[in-house]
Amino acid sequence: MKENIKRVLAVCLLLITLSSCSNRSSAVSSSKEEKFQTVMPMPDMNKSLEINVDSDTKIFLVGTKIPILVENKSPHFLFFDLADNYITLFTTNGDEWIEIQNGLTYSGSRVLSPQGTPLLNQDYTWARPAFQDNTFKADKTNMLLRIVMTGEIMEDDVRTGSFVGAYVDVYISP
Amino acid sequence: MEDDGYAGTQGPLDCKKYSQYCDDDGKPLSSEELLKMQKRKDPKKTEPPKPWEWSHNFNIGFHIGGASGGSMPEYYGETENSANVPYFPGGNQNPNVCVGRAGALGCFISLMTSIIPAQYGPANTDDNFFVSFNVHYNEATGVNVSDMYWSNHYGGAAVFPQLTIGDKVVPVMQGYMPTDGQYRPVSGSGGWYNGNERIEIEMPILTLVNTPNGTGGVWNNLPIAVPSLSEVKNLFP
Repeated sequence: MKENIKRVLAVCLLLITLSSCSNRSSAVSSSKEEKFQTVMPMPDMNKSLEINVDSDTKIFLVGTKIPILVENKSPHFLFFDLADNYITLFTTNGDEWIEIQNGLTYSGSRVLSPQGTPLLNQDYTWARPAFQDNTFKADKTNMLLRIVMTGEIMEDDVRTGSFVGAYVDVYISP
Repeated sequence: MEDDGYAGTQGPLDCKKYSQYCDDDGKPLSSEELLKMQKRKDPKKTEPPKPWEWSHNFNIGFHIGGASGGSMPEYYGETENSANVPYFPGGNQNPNVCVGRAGALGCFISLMTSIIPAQYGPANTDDNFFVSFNVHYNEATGVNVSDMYWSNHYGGAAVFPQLTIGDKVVPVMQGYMPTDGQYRPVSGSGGWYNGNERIEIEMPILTLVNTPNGTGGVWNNLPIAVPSLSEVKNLFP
């Protein structure tokens, strides 16, 4: 009888853990968010630029490509240098943000038209975090992955040196 | 006369000077022994086996939309058509078609496009896109994908910004994709891959559609997977 109760409790605990994992899209604590602003200091974050994952889920198996939809919400053209700080990936360890290597290589550049330009203000890209082999050995729970994209504001076809950014949080499952 | 291989005009061989033509006891080798030695020195050169190779140019059409029952890839090749491609609507549904060389090309196409979902566009889109490329398989060097280009036969506004090929994200074109013509990736879409695994190519295309809420953009991701070297070698041994 005691064994059965233990099993039921274990299953309940597992379900609670899983449900908390799947609803962690806003689970990043305010202290972590503050630290993130020191890692990626960008006042315009998630304003001029918006990114989303092109998927019904925000949980991805380790090693899979994560499809990303990009939209320029600003009145400016935005320039993206795909070979330089185009997409940056972070995970957390305690309160610290740790950069993760991207398993994909990018080349060339992109320009997104201002908001209101049909089709040309959108883009589609991918990210694939290259976690080290032992990342999930100690901890089998899903890992937070913050996908950050950075673009540069253009004025009259000239890059201004002012940057905008956006991020989306997903979870990587072992 | 003693056969020292040089008998006749030169006199006995000086084994101190030419020890390589003498035996361990310091006696000159006979003609027969010299010939044997020569044969040992010049073994017949055997050609190394040539690595298995196979190449083909593909031209694959994608019809987006369900209205005309075209939500499947169609293959427009020189000798094969969708009727020979197993597992596709209208194609040969007998899996045995993959056994033997006769259906090999169709099986290759089937492998390549097997990851395409059954439906990947809303019913009110009717776009047609083609992708063309060469694949070259070489057992020694891997798989090479080259000369890749796309064309838009739809006629409407479409955007084809970038694609993935293996681990590379490659820009294709900036701006709207005009009808017809050939649109090639800016750079880096070709190259050699080890061929141990399938090479996934994803081609997201953004099209304009009319919805009850107005005109909007819809992304259609057209994936193909170039089969691995071992898969193709099984088809074309």
